[in-house]
Amino acid sequence: MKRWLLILLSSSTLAAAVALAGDGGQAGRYMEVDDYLGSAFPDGVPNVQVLWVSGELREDIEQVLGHRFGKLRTRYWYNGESSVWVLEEIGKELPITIGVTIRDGSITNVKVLEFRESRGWEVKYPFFTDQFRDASLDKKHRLDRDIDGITGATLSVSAVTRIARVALILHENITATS
Amino acid sequence: MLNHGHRLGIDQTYVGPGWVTKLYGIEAPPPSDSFAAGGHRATLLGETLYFDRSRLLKGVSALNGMTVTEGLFAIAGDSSVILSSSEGERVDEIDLTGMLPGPIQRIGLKGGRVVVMSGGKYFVADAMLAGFSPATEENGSGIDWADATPAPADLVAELQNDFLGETLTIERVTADIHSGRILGPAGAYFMDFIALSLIVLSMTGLFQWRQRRNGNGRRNGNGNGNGNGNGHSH
Repeated sequence: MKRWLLILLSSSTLAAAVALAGDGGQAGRYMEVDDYLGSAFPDGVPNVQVLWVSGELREDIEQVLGHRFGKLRTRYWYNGESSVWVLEEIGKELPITIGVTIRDGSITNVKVLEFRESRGWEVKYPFFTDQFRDASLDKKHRLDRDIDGITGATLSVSAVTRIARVALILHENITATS
Repeated sequence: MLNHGHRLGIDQTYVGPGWVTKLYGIEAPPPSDSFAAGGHRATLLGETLYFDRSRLLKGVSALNGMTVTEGLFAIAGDSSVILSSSEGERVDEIDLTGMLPGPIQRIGLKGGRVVVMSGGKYFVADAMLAGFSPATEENGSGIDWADATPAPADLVAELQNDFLGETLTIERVTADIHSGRILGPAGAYFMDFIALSLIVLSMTGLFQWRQRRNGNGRRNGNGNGNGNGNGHSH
């Protein structure tokens, strides 16, 4: 009888610990856009520019996203070598704000700037975002490497991966036209 | 069904306004603010921002004004400026959180440039409406500030109906039917009772089955030797 009581008590404690661990205390704003720009352009942040997303560019982006791109234009910062894109994509219900820096068609940095949902915030850690370093696109707009997922953060992983691909497409567009 | 809600899309499919929303006691809030400019109107209902009759953006905590320049409508939220076309398509959203000393208080126009006021200071947009910078010599004079005006009653009724249509997902209703909460606390207790009853019934059934099996065994084992030999012997 005592043994059963002990097992019951241990299970309840474990269940409570798991419930508390999933409290979502890790969501939040991790970095301001200005700080991200400062780290991407240590010699001075270039002026913000605007890219209207229409035609074939919009089609390519929406194919990657799997849904409508929710804006008519997007802003970016470009100093002739590197470009920075601050984009949003929904993980499950709320948007994740992600900064992506690209140079010579390859990603140099991915940073989760703000995460608003209670689950999946583990994508903010460098062990995940560092996987995108040096990634580029193939002809079908897929990343040239596999990105390892995180258990319990499948939708967030997928959202960050999609945004990395979209940023590469956008960079491709501005460098092809400039 | 609940385990696959996202894949099935029921977490994004809404039960329209009607008896279900009435059952939940959900009522659309009154508009918190409404601003008109250039023959169009921005209205905030709950956290949904409407441009005329179409939904522009969700998750907006405040509406602090709307102005128009070069065919672009600049709508001030709490810490961002949302840009809309005259058709109600979201053009862009400029997040000013890191720049402003506090929430946006007002938005207006001066010399064709959009100006926002925050913490008593002024910030002016560039010509492309892509970014804002502090206005060092701005004293607030000559700015055509946006002022709130009440939204027409028919528009409010239409927006409230639209708002109610996006409050309850099928996933939520299904989960509440499953837990009994759709009938309130009594429904949840009823479902608890049913669930506990099922556990108790299955346990007592197992107990009875075991008793009967043991009983048969005893009868077979203690009988007069006519048993089939499968029973227990003592």
